[in-house]
Amino acid sequence: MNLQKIAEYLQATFAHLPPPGQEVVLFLGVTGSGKSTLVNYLLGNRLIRWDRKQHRARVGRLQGGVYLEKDDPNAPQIGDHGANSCTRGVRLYQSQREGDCWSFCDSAGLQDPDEDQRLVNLLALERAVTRARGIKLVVVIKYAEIEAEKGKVFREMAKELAELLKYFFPKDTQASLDFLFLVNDAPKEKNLEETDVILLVQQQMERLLQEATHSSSVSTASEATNREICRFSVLLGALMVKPERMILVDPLDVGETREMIFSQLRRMRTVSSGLFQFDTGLKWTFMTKLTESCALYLEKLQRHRNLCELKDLAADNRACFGKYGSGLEDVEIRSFAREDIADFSKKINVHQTKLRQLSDALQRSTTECEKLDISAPMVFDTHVVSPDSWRNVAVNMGDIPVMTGGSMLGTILGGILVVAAEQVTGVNKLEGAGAVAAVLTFIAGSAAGGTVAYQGFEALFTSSDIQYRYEGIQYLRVGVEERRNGRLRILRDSPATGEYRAVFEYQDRGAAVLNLSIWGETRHFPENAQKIRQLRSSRITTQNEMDQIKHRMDNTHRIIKILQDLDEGNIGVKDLENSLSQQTHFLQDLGSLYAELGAAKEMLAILNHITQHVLVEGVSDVYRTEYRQWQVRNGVVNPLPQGAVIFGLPQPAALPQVDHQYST
Amino acid sequence: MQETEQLEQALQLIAEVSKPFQLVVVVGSEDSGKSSLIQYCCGRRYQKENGKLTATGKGTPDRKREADATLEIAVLEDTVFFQWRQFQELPELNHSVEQFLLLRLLQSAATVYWVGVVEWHSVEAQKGKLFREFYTAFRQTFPEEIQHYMTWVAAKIPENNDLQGLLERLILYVPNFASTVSNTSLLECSLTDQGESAAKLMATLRGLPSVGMEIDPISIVEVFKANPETALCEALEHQYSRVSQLFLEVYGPNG
Repeated sequence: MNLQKIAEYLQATFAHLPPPGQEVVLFLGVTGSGKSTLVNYLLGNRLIRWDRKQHRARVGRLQGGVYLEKDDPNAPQIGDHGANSCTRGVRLYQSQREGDCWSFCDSAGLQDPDEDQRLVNLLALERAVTRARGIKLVVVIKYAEIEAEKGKVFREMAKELAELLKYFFPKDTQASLDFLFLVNDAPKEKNLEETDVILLVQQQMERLLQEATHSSSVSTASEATNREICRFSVLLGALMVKPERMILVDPLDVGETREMIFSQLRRMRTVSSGLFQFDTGLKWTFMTKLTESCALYLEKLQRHRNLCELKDLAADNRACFGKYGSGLEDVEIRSFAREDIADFSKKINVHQTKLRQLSDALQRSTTECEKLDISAPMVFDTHVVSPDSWRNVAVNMGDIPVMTGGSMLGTILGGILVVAAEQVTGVNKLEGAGAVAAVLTFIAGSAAGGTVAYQGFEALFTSSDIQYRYEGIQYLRVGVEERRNGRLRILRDSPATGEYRAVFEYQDRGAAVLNLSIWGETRHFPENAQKIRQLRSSRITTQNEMDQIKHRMDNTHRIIKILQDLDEGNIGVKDLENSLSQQTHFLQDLGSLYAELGAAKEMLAILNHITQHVLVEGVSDVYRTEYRQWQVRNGVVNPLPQGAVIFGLPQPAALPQVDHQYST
Repeated sequence: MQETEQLEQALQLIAEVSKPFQLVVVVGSEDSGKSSLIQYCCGRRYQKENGKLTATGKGTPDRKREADATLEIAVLEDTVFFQWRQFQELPELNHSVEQFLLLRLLQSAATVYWVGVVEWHSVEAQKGKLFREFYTAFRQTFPEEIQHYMTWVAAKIPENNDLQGLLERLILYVPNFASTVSNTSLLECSLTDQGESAAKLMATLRGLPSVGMEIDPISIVEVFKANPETALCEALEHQYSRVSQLFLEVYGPNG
């Protein structure tokens, strides 16, 4: 996934989204099918068939292709810019016609060969569809799609269209769908009529159905998908064979087909936006991919920043030597002031130190990363259960359905001890320090007073203690949270294993302590696992950067040596000139740091853009349902890389509040 | 049709061919018009009705074997036309037999020519996606040397366009292919003429420079052997035992 490209696409796409609340005519079709051409045709823009004999040669115009007669930046752009789609995302065009106001929404082609572009297109399409009050769906088919390789492209288009239907429309609304199919660029010599095309389309849909049925019978993994495709193919097939909804269009005609299309558009059912849905799974995949990429970039950015702290040195270097000339080659070394050299030498030393620190930090991080064990066990030794709660817990185990292992054992043991002590002392209900004292008496047979025992316990166990191998590593979290409401709290659930890690806290009466040992593993914490994966994947980058740093350090070392030699009179100015000119590449290297800084700033802008346009809105979208809110809050899913908050994402508190607590 | 029958018929046909013969191997995507091209080169004439090609019934190859869209070998005098159809995802195609036959033909032929068909719609639809896919598969299958000796024939160009229009699209949509063909190795073949295009194609094939162009069949086999990573070679290796078995079934142990 190329973030920079995605940011560009997003910028190009989201700037042209239709305003909300409109009724739009949405044009769909594979890339190069002629959607923009037909939107132009409906807008009444004059089109021509390009012929090199009639027109002047022009780059990007193909013999026999249909183009706008006059270039108009406000009209849908028709172009041949290689294999990729010319239109990106969606674009809206308005048309007034006999009192009717039409909003044509031209979309990027389905099946764009560029994967990043496809994702952005889908996102844009979803955004456009969900913003609209209602849509009329128009599918543009180029005749060559039906003809080439016996309709292979057409069948693939139909499959993708069926997928889209599945994404956008809930099952119960699909029956009411209405499409208009426009067949573009049919060869005149074939004298085709709509019924001929319908026949061809029918054959293709039957073949698609056969293929889907065949593959579902041989592949169990995709059986459900193929079943769905079969279902939607039948639905689509039924929509395609309505003669009035299939129009052959010649975009060069004087407009008779245009009238026919408008007439059909008027008659077509508008699909209300209330019916739209969007399968979050797809967007979720997209966002997850995007956030993972963002996180990697953020790390890289941070390292860039570290490197770019050195920019001051480069500036100093320029200030120092710049006054002698425009570049090192031009510098009159002879006229160097000795102080300047000494000063530069000092700064080089600082540079050297910084590089060393950076190198060490990277080395540490790499070493840490290598040591990370995703299955490393962690133990939460947490605190505070007062005796009466032991009792209550033991008596009312049914209230705490999630306790297992050590917690259950400890709790039951505590409860049994209290109940046993009650029996021994003959007191009906022991509480607090009295209970502790009684338990201790019962266990040890000593006559220690309640207060002494209480204080003893308190001194021993006053705070939570987490034994975790990676405790010292900042970015790995163990997830224990303080909570003093006396309720059992699930910190993380792990559906894969069915285990729960729980911390039980009860401090109504303070401090007698039961030690609950609850086991977990690093991998049970999604953000840790993700972080470890990222670290491992970025190891190569780290190694490269370390090599670069080493290279820089070597260079600075050489320069220091040269300057020292000069200072000590070991070399003459001429030698210095020679040596430094050999080191020119080092200063160029410093120059490249500027470039890195520039790149980092650019990346920051990209991240901000993505953050604003995709993540913030995406997260808001995610937060729309309570279930999702619960999932996000409980770390079941992680919508954002941790660092993304720095770049202007609202803190969780600023997001919609959860109405219901999902903790038990 | 059973594998053995297919093989038997095909071998019979090859046996009947007068030697030495020249071999023309034709490749192309599905429905690109390979069969029509071969038939046309063998003398069949066509006319266009409503944009559709129909045979006029005059002229047929000397011998022809076409069975259930599986293999096709056509013979005209000293020329054997062979279709390589593995780029078509037809489940009924028997690839092992096809591979075996090609190898036999390559071993026996005195001269081998390679012809590829570039079909208009596969370049025009979805900005060349289908042709790109075909070309990728082709390059993965055949050794680099053969790719240099290809003669490409443009097929199904609509009336409102021409060879130059096809070339313009290829440059834009499949640039790596376009860079290997020039006007000289991309020919327009009008199947509705009276054989002029066929003559032009055969003249082009025969007029190829003799150095490395008139490929010695042995060297072709050597090329395959020298490129063991090619899909064709792998497939041959894989299928060899099966084909040997078929051979035994057809000719018997003494055959």
